[in-house]
Amino acid sequence: MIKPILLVFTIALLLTGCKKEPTTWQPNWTAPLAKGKLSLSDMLPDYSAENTDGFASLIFNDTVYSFSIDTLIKLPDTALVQKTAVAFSSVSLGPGSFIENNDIDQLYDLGDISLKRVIVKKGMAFITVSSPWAGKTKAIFEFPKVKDNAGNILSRTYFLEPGTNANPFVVYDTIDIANYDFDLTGASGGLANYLTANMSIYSNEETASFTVTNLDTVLLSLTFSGLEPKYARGYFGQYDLSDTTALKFPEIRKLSGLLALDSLRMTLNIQNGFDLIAQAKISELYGRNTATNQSILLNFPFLNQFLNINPATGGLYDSEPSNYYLSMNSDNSTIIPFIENLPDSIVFGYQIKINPDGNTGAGTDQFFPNSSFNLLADAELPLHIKLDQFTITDTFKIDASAIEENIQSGSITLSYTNSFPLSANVPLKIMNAAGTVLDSIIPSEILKAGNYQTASESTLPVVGQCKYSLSQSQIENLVNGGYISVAATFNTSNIAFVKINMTDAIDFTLTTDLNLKISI
Amino acid sequence: MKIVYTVIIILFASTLSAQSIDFAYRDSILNKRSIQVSAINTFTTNSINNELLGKFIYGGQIGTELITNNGQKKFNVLGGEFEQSISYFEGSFLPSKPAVGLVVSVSDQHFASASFKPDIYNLAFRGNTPYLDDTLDFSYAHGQYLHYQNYSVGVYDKRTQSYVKLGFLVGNESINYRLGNSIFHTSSDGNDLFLQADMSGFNTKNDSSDSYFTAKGYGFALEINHNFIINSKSGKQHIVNFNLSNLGSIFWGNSTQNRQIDTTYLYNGFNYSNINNIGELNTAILADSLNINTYTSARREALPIQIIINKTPVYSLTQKWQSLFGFKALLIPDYRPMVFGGVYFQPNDFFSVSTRAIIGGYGGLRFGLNANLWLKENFFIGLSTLNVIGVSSNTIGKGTSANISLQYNF
Repeated sequence: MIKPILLVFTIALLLTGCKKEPTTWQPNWTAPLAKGKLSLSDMLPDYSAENTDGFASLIFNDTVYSFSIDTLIKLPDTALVQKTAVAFSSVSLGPGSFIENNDIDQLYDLGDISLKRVIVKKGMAFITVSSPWAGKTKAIFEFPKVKDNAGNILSRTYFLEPGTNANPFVVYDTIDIANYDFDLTGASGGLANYLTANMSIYSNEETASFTVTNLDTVLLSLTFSGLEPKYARGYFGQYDLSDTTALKFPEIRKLSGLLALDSLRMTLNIQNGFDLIAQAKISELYGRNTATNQSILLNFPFLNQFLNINPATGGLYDSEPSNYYLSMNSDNSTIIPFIENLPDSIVFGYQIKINPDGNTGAGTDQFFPNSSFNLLADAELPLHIKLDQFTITDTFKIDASAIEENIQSGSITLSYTNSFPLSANVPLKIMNAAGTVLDSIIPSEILKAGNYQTASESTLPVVGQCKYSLSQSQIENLVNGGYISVAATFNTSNIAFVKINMTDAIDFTLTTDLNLKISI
Repeated sequence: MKIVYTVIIILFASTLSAQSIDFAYRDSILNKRSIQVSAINTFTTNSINNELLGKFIYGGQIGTELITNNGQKKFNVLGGEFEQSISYFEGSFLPSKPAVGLVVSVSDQHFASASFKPDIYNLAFRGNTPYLDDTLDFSYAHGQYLHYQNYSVGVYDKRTQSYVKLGFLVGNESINYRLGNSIFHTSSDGNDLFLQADMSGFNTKNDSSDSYFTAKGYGFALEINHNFIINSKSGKQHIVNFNLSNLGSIFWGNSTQNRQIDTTYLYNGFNYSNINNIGELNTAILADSLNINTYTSARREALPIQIIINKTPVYSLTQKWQSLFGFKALLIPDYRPMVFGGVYFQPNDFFSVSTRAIIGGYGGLRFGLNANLWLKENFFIGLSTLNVIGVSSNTIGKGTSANISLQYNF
């Protein structure tokens, strides 16, 4: 349809070699922009639901704080050295003869931690083998209680040329030990922090024999570096951790005015993902509104009291965290004034004691992959509320060049049928980067609240229309300023408590009437 | 072979400047060699006055008054022919056939044609706000633009200056869309836009890196001219020229974009019921909603066939005053047959002038003016316009025309 029109221009443009300025005109276009019916479930699909009393609730279920103790299980960089031992002062080794030392337990010193088993998430092992023996040798090292994730024992074989004590022959090797499973119970199986090794040193000469004395020692140096655990079992030590942290919610800063709640329920869940005995307490929980500078303590049962947190259950592949629930509501806590304060900063203090009574589990603590301590919140806010000049303020940076390029002036009309018992006034301010207000765009009238029926606790829809007019000078200010501030102010019907139902909705149509600027 | 030449000459002979209807016939000027350069640039319309057209040419604000004063016909048409050409005539082509010459031409041609009802003009310049609750009729609108080069070769008869040329065409661009029954309606509250459209067409513009001479198709065109020489009993000579050109087609390549729309579409705003859907609107969905069928394929486009029959003035010192009249047709729906008539005056052997009244084609009544200058027998220059008012004013009249022809004989 538009092609023939464009063709008119095309023909004309064939003659535009001497064109000095753009050709412009301003047609007026009226067109629908958007329409819809917005209910709570449309606007907040994951955060709204009908409650047991039949009206709407806002719901929230998420982790608000989390930390892990994997940094407590430190696996330090350590060098372990194994030596061959020759029982005689001198022995002659013919081709194929060998000396072996088996079940050598080497201590892996971990301080207060006693580990029986570790699966390594990442780390490297560096091997150095040094031989002063006078003939060619073959050295076989086995770690019978260290296996890869396929169950293969860690084993290495090295072929060494002849050396002397003054100038031993040396070989180097590097092993990526990620996912290796270390049994640290020693050869007997009853120890902790012990790595077991077997050594066999063969003469690799084909015909000749050579002599080895008790001064000729083959050394194996095994250095661990950068080890991090994926799974650990043993005794992790005793810790007393405490901290106070501030959680920021900048989006809440955009809210102001009066919000009155009828009720609110929240359950805090302290979740322990480790198989160890712990005690925890929430020492403080303050909510602060930085705009009003008002702080309110969330007081609830067991605040500042130690709670015995059960260990997680199960094993490496089927662990289940333990849960400790703290329920609070408008009767047993200060949750309502806490929320009505619209806190944008929450000060959260906690203390956790791990193994408070020492190794009472006889080395059965378990650290599971990705396990952590979590604080989860499960909240329900029934929308039986009162709003008085409750305002959401936000500022947007906009690129109005396209508007200036295409629109001379115009208006946007919102036609609506509102069955929310809320009115809204949404003026716009045109600002510059410094925050100076250059102009205002005021709607022709406010968005009227639905007609709330107190007896039935339902809302009859109200039909209305509000229009935003945009003049040429306002468009220019928009281009120059580059920012728009929106302050949407909500009031409940008659500034009284109302119940919002899931069926409440605003049915709307946005229509534009624009004086366009065509330029070719 | 003699029979062939004879047939060609008899059937297809015409004046060498026959495509332009405003120069004069002069015999015996093509016995030797000749180079002819001509530029024919004509834009004609019955709907866009020059003041409005000037805004597109020179730029500026098109105000409400200008839009209102640009009266619209029930069916508006406009069109343009822009041809720049150079031709070489070889008079010693066949020694055994001294009457036959060779002509080789190269030309660059733009052709544009459109027709539309006033509602399209009104919607384009005024928008739909003044027409709430009105149904706007877009039916049978047409728009076409064609650009190509014509490399032609032919033979001419020195005695009648008639010729036949066969051209090899290199197509650069083509846009051609046509509407069937189509209407547009805006509801009284502006909440509903209703479009019923039946459109088909194609365009070859599919690569922004195209240059002016990018070849996107190839074709052929035949042009035949014949001059009927009539000698009256009183000894006066009259020339009736017949020209038939653009007999041919361009075969556009397989990247030509074809579009068909057969839609009945009601738009009442993007559905915002689910905020998450806001990002889903895209061109493909819109095209699907409008039932636009787009595909690429090769296609053939016939050239707009042109027929001219006119009584051409003759260079003559004994016929100082001559009548001229004729007829021109382009066989496309936008173009109505054009007729013209006027007088020719030649006071001496090196200068002549003619004027004519023209009606039809893409425009209404208009007047043409032509001046010819001969310098001995070696050099000719002809200047003309088919729209005196249009070419002399940027604000008055509708359309414009400026043609020039230069010829050098050696």
